[in-house]
Amino acid sequence: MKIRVRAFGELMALLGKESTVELRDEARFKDLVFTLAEKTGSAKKGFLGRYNVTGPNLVILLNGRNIHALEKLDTALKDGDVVTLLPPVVGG
Amino acid sequence: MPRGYAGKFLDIDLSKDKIKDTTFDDEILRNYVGGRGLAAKILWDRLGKKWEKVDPLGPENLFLALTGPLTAIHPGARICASGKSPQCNGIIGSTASAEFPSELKCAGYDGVIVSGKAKSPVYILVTDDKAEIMDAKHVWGKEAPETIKILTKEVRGLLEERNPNAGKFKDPGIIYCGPAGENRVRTAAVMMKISHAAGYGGYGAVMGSKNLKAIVAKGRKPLPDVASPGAVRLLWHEVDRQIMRRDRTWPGLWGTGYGGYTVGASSSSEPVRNWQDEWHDEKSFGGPKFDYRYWVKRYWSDFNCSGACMKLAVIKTGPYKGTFTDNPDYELEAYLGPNLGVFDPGECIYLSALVDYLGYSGINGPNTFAFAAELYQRGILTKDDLGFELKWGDVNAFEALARKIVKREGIGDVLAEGTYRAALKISEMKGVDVTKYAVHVKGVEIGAHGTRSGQDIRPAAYACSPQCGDHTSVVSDAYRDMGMVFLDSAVICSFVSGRGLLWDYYRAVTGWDTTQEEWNRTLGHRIIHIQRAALLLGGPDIVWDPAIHDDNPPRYYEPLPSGPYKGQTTDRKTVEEMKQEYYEAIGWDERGIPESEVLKKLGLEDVDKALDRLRK
Amino acid sequence: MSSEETVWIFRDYLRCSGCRRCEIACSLHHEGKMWPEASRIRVFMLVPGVEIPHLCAQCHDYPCVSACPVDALSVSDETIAVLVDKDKCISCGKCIDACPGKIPFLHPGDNKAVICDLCGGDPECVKICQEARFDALVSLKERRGRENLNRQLFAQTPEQLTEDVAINIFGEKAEELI
Repeated sequence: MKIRVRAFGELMALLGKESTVELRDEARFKDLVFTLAEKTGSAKKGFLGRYNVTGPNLVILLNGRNIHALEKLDTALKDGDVVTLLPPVVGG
Repeated sequence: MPRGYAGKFLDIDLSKDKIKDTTFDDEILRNYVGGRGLAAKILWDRLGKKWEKVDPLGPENLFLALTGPLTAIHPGARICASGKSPQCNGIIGSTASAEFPSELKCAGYDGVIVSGKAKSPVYILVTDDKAEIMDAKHVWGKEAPETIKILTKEVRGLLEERNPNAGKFKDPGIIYCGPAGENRVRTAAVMMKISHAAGYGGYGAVMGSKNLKAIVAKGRKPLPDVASPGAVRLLWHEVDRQIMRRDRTWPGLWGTGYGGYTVGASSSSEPVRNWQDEWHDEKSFGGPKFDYRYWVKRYWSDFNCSGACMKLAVIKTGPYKGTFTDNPDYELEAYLGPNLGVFDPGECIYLSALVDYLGYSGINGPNTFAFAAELYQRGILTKDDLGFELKWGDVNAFEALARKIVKREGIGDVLAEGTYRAALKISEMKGVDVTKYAVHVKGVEIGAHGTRSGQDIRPAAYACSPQCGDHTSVVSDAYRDMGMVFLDSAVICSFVSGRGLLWDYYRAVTGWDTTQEEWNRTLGHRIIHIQRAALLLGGPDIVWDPAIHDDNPPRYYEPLPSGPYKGQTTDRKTVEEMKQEYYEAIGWDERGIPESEVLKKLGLEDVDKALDRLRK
Repeated sequence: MSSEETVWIFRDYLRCSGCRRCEIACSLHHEGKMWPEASRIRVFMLVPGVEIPHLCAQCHDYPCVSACPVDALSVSDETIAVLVDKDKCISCGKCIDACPGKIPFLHPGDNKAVICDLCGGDPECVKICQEARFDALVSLKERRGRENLNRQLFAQTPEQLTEDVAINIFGEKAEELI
């Protein structure tokens, strides 16, 4: 299946503004993380760039929903899903 | 009876000179909490049936100043101003820090609700379980320093007179409107202390329209009891420990006053010359220059806050000698700095102090100045229109403009209506569409954080937000973004709300069992729906069409002209997609109107009914 | 606090952030609740930015104690702070009049005179100020019996202190603000 990934902030430089990732049919969110981690050159498991995927700083949306409100890393994916990666922003 | 609350609200009708106490059911308080949430509920209940007809600057509108159960008890005391907004015709919860909210709670009140209009300028004096309407003719027209000085002396004197043996009285808490609010400039803020502003929403103009110069509070009772005093005491220390853990670099040492350089140079999202650019590399602007040359006090705080992110800035030499104000914070650094073509910290401090003294919102007001300057740049507004030249970086010209708008003189009268309404009027006057230069969302001028670089605010974050251009409370997933809705309703400062401690603190104070999940999924949503409904019903002068107005300003689709993200811009397709994602997440239809089923499930049948006329 | 030493709180006004957590800490300790108006240390801001924590200076001649017509005030042997016997106090306010700094006040709850008792030698306000590293309140140890005569000089009204600190911060401009 093909998943669209939108990246903002620092992750934009590592992943590009928009990209498409190919995954196997029964893939879950953690499979996407693994694939993206390779692209972002993360040495640590479960990290995208310098952000812990399940940590408080990185907000991850699946079709607009926060994955923490779904099944987190176990959330099932389907073809055409859009994942948005939102690292933290500057204060004001 | 929930704890953390003082137990009653002041309900004052200035037309009838009537003062009474009012309370709300425990269920309403649990659902809406206080501040922004409760304001939305009160406004909807009292004005919802005829919302479109209510003139925000008329006597029918309400002016609300509400605290919440965490206010003053959790670090970072704030007050939330609200009403029907003269900017967007919806409901915004606009907050600022001060001692006023703790004084109000110590006086036995959780908030003040004001309706009607006084016959002549008044201020409301709140003391223990008592409110009085006092003559304010002698402070009407005064700028911030004079207003504070006069009212502080007057009220201290009065209290010492009434309590002759009791000793010295400390200064009372004061919220007030400046000359901008008095003249109903739509970008006027509710001011407190010398430079704090509840700016978004234009509620300073609502105060002014009621002839309400100020509310002054001195409370001598304790802060309200809490449900678990031992737990609160421990959590109180723990929040501060967390703030100190990184040597208070955030928010204390740097404040947001170091952002004047970094937001431009690094995230390339800082407005420059009315947002014509968002990148600059002016190293003198930001951080050390402000700090070492102008900040006399590096840690300046409000009630119950060790974050101390404010700084006292004093200009000691040169043409602006004697000017003093806070920092400025990042927003005013940007809006009275690069966005006006000003790159000198001293000049920025001077202009920041000016807009604070006049009672403008430091974001919304100067947004209009920059808009006018761009029109001048393009030859659309001329020296004849303005009475002077308005070149980028010209401090004297911008001062003249600020004062002209407050006085509503000539073109000042048009610009006083805020950037969007001024753009409509000027387009008509000049026969050329200038709305494309107006940087606002639904009448609310946008905070100093752009969307084009992709490093700061997200593409649809302002477009769908019930608080419109308010950068402090944008939308993302209808889940995590509920956090700010809670802070605006509990009314505490987001900069010092301890990570992981907030909900324990809330439960320890109130005794309720509310969880973050319940708030994120249900309670917060109710507030968003009410705000959205009010915004869409709008009126009386403008009604927004989400198909057109759930959008960024045209400027945000122009490519960035310089910097590391040169050529980048907000992608329209992404905006449309993310809008639909948000609508689905929050429970609005594809036009952005809250769905009937969703509203009914939350018990908002009357909101649902009111929206029927939009669904056709 | 040993028997050889007493404690005195030094005030560094330029460092005071105005957070008033000292008021909260003091009232939590003495009243069991957050009650700023009952705090023995009171932070005044009569001019923007000029934060003045106001509290007893333990003058060596204790004018407040002498002024009390019912002997409700005394000096602690241990801490040399002023102690108030609430049962004797008649709320006349003479201690306030006698104090060069008008520092005592009548409790907003029971109307009895309230004066800082140095928390028995380990002041809470100092601890909370140091927790935040503002260090606007500092505990100084002094030799018992040889306490600094300067203490009485610190008993000034909030207005007097405001004027001095305002000049320090603002220069000439302070005159307009006071």
